[in-house]
Amino acid sequence: MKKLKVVVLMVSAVALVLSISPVYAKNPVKLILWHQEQPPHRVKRYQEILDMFMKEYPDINIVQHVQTWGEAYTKTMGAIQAGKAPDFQFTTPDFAANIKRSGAVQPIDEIIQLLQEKYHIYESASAPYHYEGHYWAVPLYGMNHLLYYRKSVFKEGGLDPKNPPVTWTALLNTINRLVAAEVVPHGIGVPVSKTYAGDQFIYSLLVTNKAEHLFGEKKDEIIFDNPKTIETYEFWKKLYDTSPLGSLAWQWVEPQLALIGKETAFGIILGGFLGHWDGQAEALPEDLAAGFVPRPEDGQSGTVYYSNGVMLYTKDKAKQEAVKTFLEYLFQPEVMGYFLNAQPGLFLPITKEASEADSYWSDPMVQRYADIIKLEIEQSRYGKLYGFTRDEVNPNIGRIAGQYLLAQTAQKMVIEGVSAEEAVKWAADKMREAIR
Amino acid sequence: MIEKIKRKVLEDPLFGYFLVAPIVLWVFATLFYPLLRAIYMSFLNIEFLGERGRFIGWENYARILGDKEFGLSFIRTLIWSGANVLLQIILAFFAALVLDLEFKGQKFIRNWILLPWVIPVIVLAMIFRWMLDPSLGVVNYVLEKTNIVSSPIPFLGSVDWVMITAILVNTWRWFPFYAVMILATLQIIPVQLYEAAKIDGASPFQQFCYITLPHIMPVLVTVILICSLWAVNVFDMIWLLTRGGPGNATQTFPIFIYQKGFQEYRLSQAATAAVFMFILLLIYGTVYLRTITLEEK
Amino acid sequence: MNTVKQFFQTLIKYLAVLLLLFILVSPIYWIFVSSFKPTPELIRVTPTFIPHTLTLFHYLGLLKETNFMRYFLNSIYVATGSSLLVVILTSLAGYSIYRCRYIGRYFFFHMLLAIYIFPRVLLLLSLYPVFAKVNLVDNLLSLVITYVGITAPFNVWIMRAFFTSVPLELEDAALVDGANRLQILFKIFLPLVAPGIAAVAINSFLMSYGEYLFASILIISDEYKTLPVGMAQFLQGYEISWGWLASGSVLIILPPVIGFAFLGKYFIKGLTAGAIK
Repeated sequence: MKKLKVVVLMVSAVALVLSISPVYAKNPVKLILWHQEQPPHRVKRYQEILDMFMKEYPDINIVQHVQTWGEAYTKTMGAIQAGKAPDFQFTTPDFAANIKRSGAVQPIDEIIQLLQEKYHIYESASAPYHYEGHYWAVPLYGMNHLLYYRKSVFKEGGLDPKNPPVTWTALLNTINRLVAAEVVPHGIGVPVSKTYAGDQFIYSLLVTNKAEHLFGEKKDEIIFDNPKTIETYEFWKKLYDTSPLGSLAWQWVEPQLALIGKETAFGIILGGFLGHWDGQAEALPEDLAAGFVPRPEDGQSGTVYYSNGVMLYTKDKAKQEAVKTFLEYLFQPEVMGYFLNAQPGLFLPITKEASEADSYWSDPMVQRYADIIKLEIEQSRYGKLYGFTRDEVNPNIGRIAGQYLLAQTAQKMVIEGVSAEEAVKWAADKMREAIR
Repeated sequence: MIEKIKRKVLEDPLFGYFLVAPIVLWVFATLFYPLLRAIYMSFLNIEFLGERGRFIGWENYARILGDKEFGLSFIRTLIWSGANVLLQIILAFFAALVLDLEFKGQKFIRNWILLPWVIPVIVLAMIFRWMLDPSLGVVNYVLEKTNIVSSPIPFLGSVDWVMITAILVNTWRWFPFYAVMILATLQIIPVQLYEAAKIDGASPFQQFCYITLPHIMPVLVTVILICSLWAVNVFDMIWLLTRGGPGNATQTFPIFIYQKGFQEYRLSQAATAAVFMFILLLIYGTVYLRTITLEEK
Repeated sequence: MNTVKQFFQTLIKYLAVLLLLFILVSPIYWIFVSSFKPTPELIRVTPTFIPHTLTLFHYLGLLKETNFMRYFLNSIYVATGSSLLVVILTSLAGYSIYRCRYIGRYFFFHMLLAIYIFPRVLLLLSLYPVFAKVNLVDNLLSLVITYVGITAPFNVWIMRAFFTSVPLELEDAALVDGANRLQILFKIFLPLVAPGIAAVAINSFLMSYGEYLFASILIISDEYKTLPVGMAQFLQGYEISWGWLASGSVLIILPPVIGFAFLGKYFIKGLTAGAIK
């Protein structure tokens, strides 16, 4: 009897020791990812990628949480303050700059270096996240503008659909010609609302006119009020005059609908338009065409460019390793290609290798619009983002982007009838106030 | 004898406190604390969320008072709420009276009256933005086809039209709410009163003035107060329809506060503006209540 | 002469009804009809008032591709929970403020009002950390708590007219009969103000059902999102799914309409009149 008791005791002791030994206590690392790509099909695609990753790496578990950009700032800051920040989060340059102020964003140099050794990452994608001596996010995909038009409209107007206008003058001339011939009632849909849509349109024009810098060499110096900017706004006004009534309130969707509905001949739109056109128009894929954003004769090729990246919050070493593993996995060209096609045409590759991936080009929708997408990728090399064009970034850039001052300048011209010069000066002063 | 019992039972303060305590505590916890926090913030210089900020006394107050845009948004708020209250109450009254009548399909319509209020504002805003667009929307299409106008109206895209458009959309959304309030009150008026009046030969109009109105007055007065407070506080509808624009044409107080806090990232200034708004409304509410309690006496 | 007068009265009556219907229904008709149009017809520049083609594509797509049903259940849960609590709280508080006498009852009355003087956005900023501390972020309970706080004060006000309209004599009579105060409250008083309670229930339900601001910030995971937040996900940004916008709107309207059909009987005239006699 006594012997049995001893044996039982020993067995329990061993079991106890074994149960708390690290060999058995291996829990998967759990990561929480937040992002703002809310359309359901994108969420689905991301989940597929996460599932594929977790299958290959069963000791890492990643959960995605989605929100809209509208809530992102409040929610993220709220979570950070409450100590409940996610482990990593998708971001844009200005969003990152805002969140970084809280001190919660971790420098991500190690991961970037690792990736840069393996892949050729486009400068325009990584630069907006590099300042104060560190990288604050790993770029994942880019977005930029193209000039879109319908081949049928061109043909009807007696123009060659393979030759979109390249210069500002050519654009105006083509518009005048098509409107005069009553092929379309209006020229180009210009969104003027105080949203990113309004800002982006203007900024693409600014880049082509070599007026892409808001800041001077020093990050406290605003040089927005310069002749090139004024010139751009004057051209912008000419385009606005060809825009349909009501575009003062237009955001992203209306310029797209206008092009689909043949209300306008042109649109300067982000690649997301392809999804809209493809899924919802009576028109055929073949009818859509695009060209580079028109530039002035003495200008440069250019477009607004949003490098979307991922920021790291967690300080836990194991979790950081897990994030690194995930990003390494994601950057493999075939995985990246599949990832980018969560929204074909909108999300553009930021590595040379991904831009050549089979998984990217074999997507059915990408195949339908391959020419246009190639153009987009080409154009992205000349992409810039306002406030992020210099080596250093002013930490108050969020104020300028948040107030949509580029669009406000344009609104001032339209609503109050002031000259471009006056409006630009007003905006520049507001910018100076914003960075104080 | 009854008086004595009544005094003991109904005027027992403990019973009263006991009943009202849950709601008071609940509201205090969920709403007064944030208010106090905002007042606290207004004396600091917090700009981005999460900053500590340091004490700067009345600086924010001076800045807000001197801000031309603040004054303008005050005026816009007055116009916005005044028009909203007027239109909503009139339309609500009209709807309640109609629904109070007997007619075929009355029950059916009663079920649908709350529809505008049920649809989430975000959905409504998208739909109206779409319907009201001068180039792509159905409203202008109809107006032009029926020759009511010769060229489309940029309802949301022009400084002249945007305010009244936003007011009308918001009115459409809210009037059923108040209509139901008023309708419920109409139901309480004893039928016998109307029957007696009819026998005495009173016209519908006279019935309305001498029976309906007096009975509704208490509720109506309350409804108007609430309506005005809520109208001032509207944020989502305006924001989603217009973003405060074009320009600042629809920038009322809530919009101003939001922009100050989340676009200009000057949180303490936004809190200060909110405190101003609170004080102004407090004065308004107090004066209003004083007036109606005096009237009642 | 009488028949002519009657004729005109009826005519005006029906015209008024039609006018109300038109104002009410035209945008809703547009949404309803749009939800059945295939997308190309939906976004055409020249609209069609009677659909050329009918399709259930948007409904099916919405239910299949998004978590619509989940969001819907969450909304119902939150709305029901809050309205139940609100009915209880406001009935008690209303009786206390309007029928009892004690120092400070008008203070409470006014304090409740003060709540609405304050902008919601800033309320949210302060609420979030509180909920975070008690681990209620990303929990539907936080929404129920918030919504009760927001809607209850107003509903106490709504009760005012109903509560003050009940004659005091009734309570006196009950007292004489030997009823205690709780019995008076529950057995006699509350049934008489049934329309008021119904109104309060409906109001707070609907208000919680359609609320967006707090729901968007306090809920993080998809499985707890409410309807407005869920719908917002495909209504913002670069592409808007018009079909889902329309079909989603129709689906959202259905439950309250059906619910109201059942509660509508509380609005029948004479229900309380008879009781008071």
